[in-house]
Amino acid sequence: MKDRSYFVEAALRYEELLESGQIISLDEFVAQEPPEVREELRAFLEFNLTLGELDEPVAPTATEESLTDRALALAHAAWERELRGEPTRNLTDLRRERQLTVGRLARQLRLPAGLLARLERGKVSATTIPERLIERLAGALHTPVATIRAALLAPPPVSASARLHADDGIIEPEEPTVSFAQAFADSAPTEEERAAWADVL
Amino acid sequence: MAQERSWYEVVQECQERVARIRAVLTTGGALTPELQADINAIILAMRNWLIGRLRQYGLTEDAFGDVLLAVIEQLHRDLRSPGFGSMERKFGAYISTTVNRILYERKHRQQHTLSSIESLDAPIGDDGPPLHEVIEDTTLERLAEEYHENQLHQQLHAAIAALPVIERIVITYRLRGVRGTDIAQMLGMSPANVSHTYNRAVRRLRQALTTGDSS
Repeated sequence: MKDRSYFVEAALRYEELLESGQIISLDEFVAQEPPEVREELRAFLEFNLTLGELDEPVAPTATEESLTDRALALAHAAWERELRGEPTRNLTDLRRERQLTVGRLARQLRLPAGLLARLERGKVSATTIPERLIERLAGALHTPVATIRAALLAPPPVSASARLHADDGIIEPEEPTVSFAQAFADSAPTEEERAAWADVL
Repeated sequence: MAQERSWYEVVQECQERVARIRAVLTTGGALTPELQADINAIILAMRNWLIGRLRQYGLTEDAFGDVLLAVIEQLHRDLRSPGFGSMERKFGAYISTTVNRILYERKHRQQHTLSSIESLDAPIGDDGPPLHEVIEDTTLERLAEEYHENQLHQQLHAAIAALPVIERIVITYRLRGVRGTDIAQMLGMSPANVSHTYNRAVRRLRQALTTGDSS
């Protein structure tokens, strides 16, 4: 399967052809690409042409400003780790290095264990994770905040059920990625856990 | 503030920063605080345009965080890629296409529908023709009248020349009298999407002719 960069680069190539005066249809263009990507590439090219360039700037809300700051901090932490050549470690790796179970770490953080497990599966939107939780994870795992941020963007471990599905061909619906607040509500928190995180929910 | 600058100005500024960053990172250089500041400036310059696109698309604030993060991660990867030199010359097209690709992936993951586009394909009533076939668009005639009355000919051509390529092609053919369905067939797009592209081009032309901003 081709990655995102391939599709972006192909779209830019198509636009360059049009820019140069060659009016070539989408079908003609994708016919020159690898057979396995033609259908998706064609659909994406039409979607991309239809949406067009970004054209409507809008002033951000306070929430969007805050999300921008969080996204920048998360991405920079992951990027710096990569540029330093350090190995990719997800949250599960960091927890196991401290020989902690999900339940024990969750109790330390006053989080529902189900929520922490969901975080480790990468199914909580990273930009919605409260800064306070990132700091508390850093404290509990004795690691810098930047390492926690990078871990939140690292690929999660492949679950046993996913391996089983790959073997027997059973396909189940993918677990949706939700906001921290939604994941918290879904994980049946106790009164104590709710009180501990009330200010960020 | 970013929204007070034109898209052209923002893209030009970002392209200079992109060239600086790539000159270092694609040759094995290290990430310095100055380059980091350049990257932050690019993200902040693009942010409000990105929010505009997401609001048009009907996404929530939480989704904005996910999409922005995906854009930043993709930007980080491509800034280091020696094969992605086009982002130094055509950063506007690059960043727009990247955002559109991320939206496309989300759409397929979540079966999110772009109602504003699909509605043009929807039939009128139970057995009626698709909406895009019966929309009467008089914008072009109105633009032509304004051109005759206000000597806007040159401005109009400059504005058309400054349109993104697909919009320029669609509007040019429409001005030559080619029907939307024929343009759709030529490009291999659906008539509804050609209508959408045409209307966006008209909106951009109207803005250029009324504000003098041809970017």
